[in-house]
Amino acid sequence: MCCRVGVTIMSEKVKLEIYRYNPEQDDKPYMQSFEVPVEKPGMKLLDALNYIKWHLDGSLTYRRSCGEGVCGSDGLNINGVNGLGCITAIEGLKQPIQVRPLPSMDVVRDLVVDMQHFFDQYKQIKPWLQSSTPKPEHERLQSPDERAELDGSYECILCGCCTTSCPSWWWNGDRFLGPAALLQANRWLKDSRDDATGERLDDLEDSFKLYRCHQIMNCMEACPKALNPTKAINDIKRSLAKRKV
Amino acid sequence: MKMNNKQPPLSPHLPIYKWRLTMFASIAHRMSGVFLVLTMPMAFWLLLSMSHGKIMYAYGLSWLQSSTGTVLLWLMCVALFYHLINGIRFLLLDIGKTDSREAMKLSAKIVVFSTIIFALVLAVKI
Amino acid sequence: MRNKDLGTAGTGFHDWYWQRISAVFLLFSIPVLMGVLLLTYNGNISFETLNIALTHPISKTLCNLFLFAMLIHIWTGLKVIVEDYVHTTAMRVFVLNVLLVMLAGFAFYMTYHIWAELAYTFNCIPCGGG
Repeated sequence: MCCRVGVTIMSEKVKLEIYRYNPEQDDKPYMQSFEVPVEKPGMKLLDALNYIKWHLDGSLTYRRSCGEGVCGSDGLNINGVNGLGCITAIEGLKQPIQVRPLPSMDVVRDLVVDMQHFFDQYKQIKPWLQSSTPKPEHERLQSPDERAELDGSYECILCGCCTTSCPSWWWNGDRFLGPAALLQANRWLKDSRDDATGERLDDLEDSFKLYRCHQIMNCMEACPKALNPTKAINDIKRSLAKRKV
Repeated sequence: MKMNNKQPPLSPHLPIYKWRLTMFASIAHRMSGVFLVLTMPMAFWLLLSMSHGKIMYAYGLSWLQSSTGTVLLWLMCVALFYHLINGIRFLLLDIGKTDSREAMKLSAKIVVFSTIIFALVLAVKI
Repeated sequence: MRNKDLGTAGTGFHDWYWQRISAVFLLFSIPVLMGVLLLTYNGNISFETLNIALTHPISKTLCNLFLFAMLIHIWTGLKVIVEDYVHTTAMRVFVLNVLLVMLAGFAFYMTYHIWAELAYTFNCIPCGGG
């Protein structure tokens, strides 16, 4: 079974259609077709992009760094769904594989988008420990249970796949913080060492910053680390309800 | 190299994003809601009027049983059924139940497919 | 999309909260309304039954409560939609206030309808009961 359907053989070629835009030459973006040989079993989409850049068209521009789903540089829209190029297998993708930049972002060039606003929003939730207790000699301790509260939040690599998949963020991204920033906001709310819970909740209680989430769940479907920002947002809403009602 | 001050293009979003069932469940909740805003007050008004006078009752019943009335009633019931059970789904998420990734996807499947079955059954029975 | 952090307005919670409170009320009342409408459609509820069922003071009170829950739910729902898709403050203020006036008007009219039995007012016909 495994070796018949959909498995690409060594000499086979993969068809890709890639979003191209060079601000110095192009008036508007267009899709360009490429054919890439399958060089090894388990080939990832990033390998195909690398092949194009190194052998077919050196002008193709994209971000990548670690190549193994840890740095969060190569968030892309692959066949209509956001994901990381480096951990998305070519095998099983419908061809021609449509590769576009993360949705609803300013395109700098080809697959590279301007992440400034995304990281500004991350900064807005103050992603650092705020403690009122004196600094201990070594470290601030947590019990294993308190540490376990952070599971499902700390794994986030800020690749932007979730935030740029969210229709609410597409329409109101200037004000709605988006799934990634809100997942992190919830991470600091849950941290036993953090003493700024009240101020953090104050900063979130806003019909645009937080309550634009309408359970569309694209973020949860897109997250390459299998996290659940929708649940995190609901946790924040419940925390607000708890201190208010 | 020439200077370039033009506004960078916005990468495509809605037209290229692949429809997921949870995304459909959310937009369907909104669309059924808007449809119910238009029809529910009307239905409530009609039922009250029919309870107030014999002639209104007769008029109302003949309009309800006309083809327009029947189709509208069917559409309204389907929209209501969907909005109701997806509403329960959302309320459960609000109180922190069924909010694992798997449960979120499964519950979307359940509400969409049970609405399809309800619509078919009602179309036969009505 | 560049913007400054304008701080928080402290809004949103009440819309969210009342949308859910009204939803729970409607969860129990709307199926009754639809059931009655469907049974009437099928000819299973005669005028006499419908008249007695809906003109009793207790059912009038329940009808009025249902009306308010429905209007709260409509208002919170439409407000979210307007905030999502209408992007200038001026347009939002305009659309939201037009909606508010329409819903308030509907609330007054329907409250009158529930309690005054419009069939009498329009002089239509003597009621079945009397």
